Amino acid sequence: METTTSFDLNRSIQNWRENLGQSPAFQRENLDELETHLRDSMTALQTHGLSTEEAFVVATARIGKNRLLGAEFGKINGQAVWFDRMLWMLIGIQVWGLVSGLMNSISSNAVSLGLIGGHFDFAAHGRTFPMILFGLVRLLAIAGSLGICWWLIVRKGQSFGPRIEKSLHRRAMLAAVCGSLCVIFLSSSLLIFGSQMLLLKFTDMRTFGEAMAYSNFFGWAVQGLTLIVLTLFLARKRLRLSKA
Amino acid sequence: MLSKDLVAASAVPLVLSVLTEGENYGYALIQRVRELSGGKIEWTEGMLYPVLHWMEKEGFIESEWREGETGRKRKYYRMRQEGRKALQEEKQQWMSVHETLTKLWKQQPRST
Repeated sequence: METTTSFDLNRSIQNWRENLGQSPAFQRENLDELETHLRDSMTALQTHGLSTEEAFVVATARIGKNRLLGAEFGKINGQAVWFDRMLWMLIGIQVWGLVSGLMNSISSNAVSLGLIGGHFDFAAHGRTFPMILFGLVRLLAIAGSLGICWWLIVRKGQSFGPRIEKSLHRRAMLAAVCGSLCVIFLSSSLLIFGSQMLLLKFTDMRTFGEAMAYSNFFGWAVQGLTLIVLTLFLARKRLRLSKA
Repeated sequence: MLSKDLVAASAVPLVLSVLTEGENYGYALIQRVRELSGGKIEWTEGMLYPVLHWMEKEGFIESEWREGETGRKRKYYRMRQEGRKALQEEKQQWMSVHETLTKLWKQQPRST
């Protein structure tokens, strides 16, 4: 077996494999083959007098940088790369739908409730005030949704990925994850439905309808425009990066 | 040292030629090429594997996981008939480049 000193070789190889494995370009068999190569290369280097740690550093450097290897392996395992992208797009769409839907309806309902509770008369006081209020609260909701989605997918996604992968291998775990996601989805819909029914109960139809119409109009306008601006901004940045 | 582009372009004929000597695994293939080229052809070692897998998909070679003499499991690659045909074509192309350059350089020995 391979020797173990204060430098934990098996742990280091495991880390190296996991780093490579974060890219969908590598399949398990590719990693096995690269690991065998690494061990062969280390054995040869150690017979030339290098320590285990030195041999590890030199051998991994000779195999190549993760990013370059990922690009080359991606050409061979293109299908896996595309499946991975599709999966993350789907996860993104669902997380965004859930988070932004919830944030939007909570904030819009709060404003509607405030307006109705304060006996705001849409006909008498003009439209400027509710317009600005709904617009502002929508902007806040979008900023909040983006923040939460970024945190969930970018910050937590890295550590969630391997954990989700493990749980997907067990059927009971898979059923539990699906079940709890459905419960979250249903309860958030129920929350939205309940709050609107409550609003309807304490106000007349006309005021409620007006508040909802304002909320919907400004919701779509502000959300649509913000997302278009954000997409164009990111596309410009991406373009500059790919040219560099 | 060979330029990166030339290293990439010559990978397929080099691998096929080494495999005509008999089946082999990735690490040993690289060692053989390094030894024969006197260290002039240096691959970024990991880059060899996507090339091997592409060649396998094209049907030039086939592979098999097997335990080597040291007890380490390795993936061995073996030449197929398609690979021999591909190597013949590669040979003709490289030889025509070689012959053309040789003729040109004989005509103007001091110009470079």
